[in-house]
Amino acid sequence: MSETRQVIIQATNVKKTYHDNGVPVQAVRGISLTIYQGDFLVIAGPSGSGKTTLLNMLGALDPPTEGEVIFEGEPLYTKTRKQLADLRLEKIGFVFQAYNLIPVLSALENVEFPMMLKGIPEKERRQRAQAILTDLGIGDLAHKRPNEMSGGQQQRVAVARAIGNNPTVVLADEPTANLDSVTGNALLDLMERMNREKHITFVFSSHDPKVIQRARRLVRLRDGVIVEEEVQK
Amino acid sequence: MRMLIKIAWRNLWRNKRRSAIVLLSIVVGMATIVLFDTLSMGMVNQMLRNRVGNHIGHIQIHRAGYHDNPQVAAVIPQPRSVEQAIQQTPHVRYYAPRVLAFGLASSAMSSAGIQLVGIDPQKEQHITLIPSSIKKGRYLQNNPHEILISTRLAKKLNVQLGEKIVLLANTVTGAVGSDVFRVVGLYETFDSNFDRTYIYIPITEARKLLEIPDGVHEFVIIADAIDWIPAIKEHLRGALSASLEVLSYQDIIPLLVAQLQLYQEMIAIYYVVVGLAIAFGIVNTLLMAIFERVHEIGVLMAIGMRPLKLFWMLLLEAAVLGYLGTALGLIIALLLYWPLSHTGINLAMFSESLRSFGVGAIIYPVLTPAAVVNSVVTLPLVSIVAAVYPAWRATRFQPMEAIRYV
Repeated sequence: MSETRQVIIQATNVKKTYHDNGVPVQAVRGISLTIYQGDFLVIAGPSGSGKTTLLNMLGALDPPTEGEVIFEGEPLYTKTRKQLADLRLEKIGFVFQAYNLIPVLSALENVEFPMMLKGIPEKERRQRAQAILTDLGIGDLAHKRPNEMSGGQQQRVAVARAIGNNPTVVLADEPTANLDSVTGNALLDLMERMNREKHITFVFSSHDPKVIQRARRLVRLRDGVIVEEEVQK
Repeated sequence: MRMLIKIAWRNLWRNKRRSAIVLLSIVVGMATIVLFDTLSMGMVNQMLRNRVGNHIGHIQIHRAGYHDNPQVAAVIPQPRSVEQAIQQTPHVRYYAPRVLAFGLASSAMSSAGIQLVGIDPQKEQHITLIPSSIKKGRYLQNNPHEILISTRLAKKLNVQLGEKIVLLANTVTGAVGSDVFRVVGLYETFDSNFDRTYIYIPITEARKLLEIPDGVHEFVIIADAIDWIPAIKEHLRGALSASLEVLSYQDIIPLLVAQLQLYQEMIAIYYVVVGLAIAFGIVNTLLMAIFERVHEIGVLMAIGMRPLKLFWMLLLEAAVLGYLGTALGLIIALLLYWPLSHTGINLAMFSESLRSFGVGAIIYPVLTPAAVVNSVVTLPLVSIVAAVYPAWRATRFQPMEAIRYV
């Protein structure tokens, strides 16, 4: 791994403690991790190892109890809620395990939505959203609502939504967990292509071997700490 | 903005039954409030029109102080010059002289205190609604010893059409004048108190009875339109001597005018009550709608929606609900109002109580621009204000807390 590549996210000794009915549960126990421009990184580990918690802390969604997260040279969690929202809008794309599309909007409108929040004019965002959907092979589903699409199709729309604003990094939490292996592989092909062609940085949390196999950087967690880090390809 | 409106509109129909119930409450509230408003305004207008139309007119001229202390001797000096001044005043449509006195009407069976009104039947017929309120017999024709009384007073005095009544009143000298009159007509207005008191005789007969040859106590004026009253009053004040008082109907019946204002304030209270009832429904619905969508709200925040934008989006949902309900309610109210404004609403079962307020049994609703503006502004505003708390509550979630919310 070339250390001269641009650092996007730098987490230093981050810890996260939740309170479950008053009982403190330490989900992440002190992790330091650097995400570089162009990474295709998988954070792997069994359930409860702290993958999703770490991803959320990296993605400006959940502040760590201790430690610091630096995003493009600036500390994340000293920002206001509004600044964090703007940062997520402009720099970070999210793909969730359960797709999380807005049910009342069509595929096209779902992709358009973050662009609308960013203030992109209607005509331009419509063209861009349609182009992304076509690029991802679901251009003909543009006017379907989420409940009219399969899981794989919905996850493609979620990817399209995540990359719509040309983010610096896409954070994908178990993106293949609800998909069959064929659909899951197709989705990974797609994200690999985005990474290769558009140089979008992808960070996954997953325990799916299909995803782990594709990782160019792999970080294995267990009980809230990194137990192994390797560059696979 | 268009996309936010689209989302608001579609979110509204995610739970059709719930939205329909809230919508129905707004529609019913809106229709009720508008109809109540129009009915109240109709009643108030009728009350005012009857009081003004039965006797008061738009403007009255007396000798100064007469309105507060009506004395038989307080006749208008040089009534002909006053008449000329009236004739030269722009926008005066009709005027008539009157002679007035308190007195006693007696029949063979009974007697009653009365307000005697001596009129010029020809001129007076344009001033009051009395000629059109004759139930039996006819209107006065300036013949000697004719009297027009109400059916109520006739019943009290136990006299019939064509029978005799003796009138007693203090003359200008302080003596008691009396004369016999024959009932030529029985009238009936919507004001039972008025009917019990007012009797009409030709002005020449009244002058004889009170011993005031050529005397006039009052000139009553009807303007081309109500809007001209202040200008006419102003003009006459300038044209007439200071020994005369020029009063508009607002000066003469300030209590009724205050009552009109009170009615309008009561309508405002009704708006508040209905608005509050609707507001609770909207708060409840939006809170439920928001707590059902906490996960989705978390996703919106995660993909970069600012808390303030989320707040406006949820307020927009309430505004869409409010405006839709208001529009439907207003349409229904207008559809009901339109025929009722022609046929009136028959409240015959309350006719006695209504008559004591000077209102007839049939109320014609009156839709004022204020009613439309109030309702169109109030209910959507209530909807939006009611949504502030639920919307604010939604913005307090942390994105991950909301996404994990079950």
